[in-house]
Amino acid sequence: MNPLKVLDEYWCMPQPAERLAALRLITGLFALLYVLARGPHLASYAHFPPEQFRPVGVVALLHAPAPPFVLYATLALCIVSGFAFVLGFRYRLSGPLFALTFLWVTTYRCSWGMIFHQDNLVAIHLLILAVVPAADAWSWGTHGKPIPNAAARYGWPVRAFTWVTISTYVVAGVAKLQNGGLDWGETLRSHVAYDALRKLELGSMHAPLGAWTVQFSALFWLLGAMTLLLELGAPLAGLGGRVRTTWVLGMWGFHFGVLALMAIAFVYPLTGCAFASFFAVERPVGWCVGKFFALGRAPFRAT
Amino acid sequence: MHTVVGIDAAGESAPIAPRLVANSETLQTAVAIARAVGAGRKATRRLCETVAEKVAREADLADVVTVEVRSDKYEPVAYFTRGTTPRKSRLRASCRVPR
Repeated sequence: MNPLKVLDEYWCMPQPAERLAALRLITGLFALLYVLARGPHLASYAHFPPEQFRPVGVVALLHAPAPPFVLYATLALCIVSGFAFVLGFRYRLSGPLFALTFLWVTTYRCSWGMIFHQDNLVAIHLLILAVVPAADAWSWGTHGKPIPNAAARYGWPVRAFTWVTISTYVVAGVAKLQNGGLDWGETLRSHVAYDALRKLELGSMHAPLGAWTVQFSALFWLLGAMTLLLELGAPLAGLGGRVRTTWVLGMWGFHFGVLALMAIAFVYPLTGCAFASFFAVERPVGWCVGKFFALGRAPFRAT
Repeated sequence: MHTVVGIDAAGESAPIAPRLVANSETLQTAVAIARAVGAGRKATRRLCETVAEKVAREADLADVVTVEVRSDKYEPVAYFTRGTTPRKSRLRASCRVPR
């Protein structure tokens, strides 16, 4: 069998328009709530000392911090376009606008010396959604219109979503191997201890469980090995089935462990949103959309 | 690691909350203090004075009389297994809270 044909069939397998729409609703809603919840924090960078400005990514276009009103205006635009994104309203405009403003405000936050990696996956997922027909179903103005049949144009973006997620874990696994080698457990132990120590000395909330467990070296050997296995084995999740479900549960457990041991919440994977593309999410989301529609408030076509 | 602490009249010290140093993000605050220390005495002094001004407006911190920027060296695992005393400690800047 021709491997390219197999790859093409896997990558471009027709999928329902509702699945992509469900990803728009899940990722869009997550990103919108994230920006709303973190708004005051994101806005606080408007008054950081200019000498601490170290632009990264798209913000490297700037040589100096933007005036405060520019940051406030971008945040406001991000929130407004976020609502439109979730509703699928004027999607050809709101899709790219929300993705780009989200990328901008989160990168601006990373341009002061501390890189917050947890925003990257959300930003890449939004950028994918921005350029694909994710508003062909369950969006503003689709009243009475038939939902298009399953097609490859709805399939490959879902695959791209999944493989971007998988790639982030592989990159994290490779980075751990480079930093700590196969015996990553000892590095992890030291990292958990340092994280708790730093938070205590800086007057912040730390994870008492992490501080207590650093005395057990063997535990960190086990946790380190499991983490490497899950991260480097992430591509297997692309096969689907039980392997995928086991991997997603394992990864979710890993993030829960990070929360318990380090008081660091990677909210996107912890809520399950990061793994939505691995499953037929149009079923639960369709049920929610149907209920919402039944309330007579939503301008969506429910089924 | 670099920290900003408040000292009361009895000489007791306690960390100043990250939101008064940089913003609510602890790791961002750690970077901001390190950047100021790395930039030299003037920048460290400026950070110290800025924090002291903010402390002066906080009713909860009415007992804090001095703000210090410190650099302490720890062994992370030993901190939790053998004791919290730093292996090395260095005062970078000290300033009175303006009240």
